[in-house]
Amino acid sequence: MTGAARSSLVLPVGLAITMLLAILSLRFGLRDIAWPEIWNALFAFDPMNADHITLRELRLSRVTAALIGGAALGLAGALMQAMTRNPLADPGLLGVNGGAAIGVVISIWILGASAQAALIAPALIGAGIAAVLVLVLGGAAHRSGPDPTRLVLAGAALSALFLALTWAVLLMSREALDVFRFWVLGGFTGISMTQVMAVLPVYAVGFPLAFLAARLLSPLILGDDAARALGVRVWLVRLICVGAVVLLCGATVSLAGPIAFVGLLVPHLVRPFTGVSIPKLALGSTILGACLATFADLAGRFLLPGREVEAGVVIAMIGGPALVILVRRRQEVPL
Amino acid sequence: MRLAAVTLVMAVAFAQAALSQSRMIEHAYGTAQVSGTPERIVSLSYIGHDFLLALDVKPIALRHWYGNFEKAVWPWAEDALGDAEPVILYGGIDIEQIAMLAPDLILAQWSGLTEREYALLSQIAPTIAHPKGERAYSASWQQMTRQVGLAVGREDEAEQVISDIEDQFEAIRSAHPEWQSQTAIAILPSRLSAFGARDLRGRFLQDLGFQFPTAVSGIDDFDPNFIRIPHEAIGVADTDLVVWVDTPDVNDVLAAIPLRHTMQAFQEGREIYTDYELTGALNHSSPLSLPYALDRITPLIEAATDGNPETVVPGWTRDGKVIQP
Repeated sequence: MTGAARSSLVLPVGLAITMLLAILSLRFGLRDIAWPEIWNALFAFDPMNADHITLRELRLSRVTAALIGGAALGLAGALMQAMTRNPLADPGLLGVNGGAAIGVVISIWILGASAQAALIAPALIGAGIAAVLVLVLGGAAHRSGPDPTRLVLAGAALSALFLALTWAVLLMSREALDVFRFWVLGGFTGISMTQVMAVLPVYAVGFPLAFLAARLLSPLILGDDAARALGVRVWLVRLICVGAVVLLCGATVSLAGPIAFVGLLVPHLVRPFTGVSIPKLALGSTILGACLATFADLAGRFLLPGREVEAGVVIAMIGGPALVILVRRRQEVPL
Repeated sequence: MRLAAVTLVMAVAFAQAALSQSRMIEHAYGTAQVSGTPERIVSLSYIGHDFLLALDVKPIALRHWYGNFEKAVWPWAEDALGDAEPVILYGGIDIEQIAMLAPDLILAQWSGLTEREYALLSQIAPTIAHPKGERAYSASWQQMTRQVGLAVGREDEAEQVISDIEDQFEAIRSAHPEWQSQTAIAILPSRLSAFGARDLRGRFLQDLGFQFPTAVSGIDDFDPNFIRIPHEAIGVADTDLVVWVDTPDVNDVLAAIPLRHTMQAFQEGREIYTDYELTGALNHSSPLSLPYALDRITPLIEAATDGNPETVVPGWTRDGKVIQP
């Protein structure tokens, strides 16, 4: 099969697998819901039927969050790696997760928040502040635009700062630690449709911006100077790119907590099929990200008796070894 | 030779006499040796000051857990503390701060003390961690009272305190033999997590005669004291009595549990809600807080378990909402 044929097939196949996983996510879990009941829950809803409620208010929102969140992380990862020209770049490098974490612990500590729903707004605010700081320190206001190296350094420095502050709060407050240790695992359990809807506007801006950024980034592969010679406004492209990554990751971390590895791993899995084209890579990573997150969420329901393992934990269990295999099988990971 | 033998015998006798005066307290990280009456007690257990005050012993420093009370002790301990002004220890265990207090006894039974911290603290003063054979937060209030009594040299008072409170439990139990065949669980609604069978709050319900639901013990959680119940499997917690403990915005939090109204406990009015102070009393489960907790919770449980779904449990509206003060 030629490369072009492979890349044209991989998207529909990936999409089909993702949809299949999403449907299985509605069917299987700690409570077994028969196929006809799924149909009834959607079209003949009985508000006293526990199966129907489970499907409508728990599983539907959960699988939606996994699909959107996974897609956002995969897409953000592809953009980050393309923009920084660094195969090990991860959206977490921009300090967004760290900012969300400090927002969460401060709100638990000072406001006494403990329900998952109450953590979304503070996480989003924390992520937003972190993003602005990273952009400013990374030279977004600079005439030549944000410099990828400076961005990553600023992100790493701020992440370290936020981590230290987070631990300072956690040391002072046992309640904060109790809530935080579950939040930090990352996962899609217990997300309600209201919460998904609350962050949907952020995604609604983030996704189109990200796909635009993927198109604009292509000329930058040749290097900044060559791109400038072609009339590309490099600073603007980078700004759009970072903005999109921050929106996608900020929304996801506030919804589901910090989920590692999706942004790092997914572009590597997609690249052999799509080649160097950044728009194709972005689209493929979106689909595979959704696929991986949905799979992890589903798999987590079968690992331990009577309880659910957070998707973030399952992804880390898959992602760690997978990345090692990738690196070992291919001595260099070309971009 | 003979002299030497006599000296040796005398030395052994003296040593035994000295040892019999000092008390040996076994705990998870070793054995603490305390002699005489400790005067400068640092209480690191989040609830430990209650146990000391119940034996009429005042610590020179106590640990802040939660709640905004002037001296970091809850209302039931205020009288026992009187006008004493112990240092309040905030945050994590600060070894240097403790060393500066020059304690002669450190009590850390319900503090999550690590072995490393124990190694340092035990060089400062005899230190007592959680009881042997228990995890950091799994000891019963009786075990802790007994250890504290031994450590401060008030074993008899400790036994007296224990039997007084056990009598109160016994009186309630014998008034309600029907509870023996029922199951009960205490749940923090904001995280839908149940207090385990060996947790203080789980033990409290069992001390009243209720059984811990086996389906919940079957959940393989990392922390058996605080078991997360997956929303869709809430049926495991659908016991004869469901105790929702206090959480901010409790009505919103309860409304966000999608399957709550499918629970039989909800439909038959067998839920109770413990408000901020009552929850605090259960959380402390100390000789000082337990009488208060029993006084307040017994009428609630009686209303919930009277077998009549029409009875409105105090603190609830007819449609299952918590009445906020």
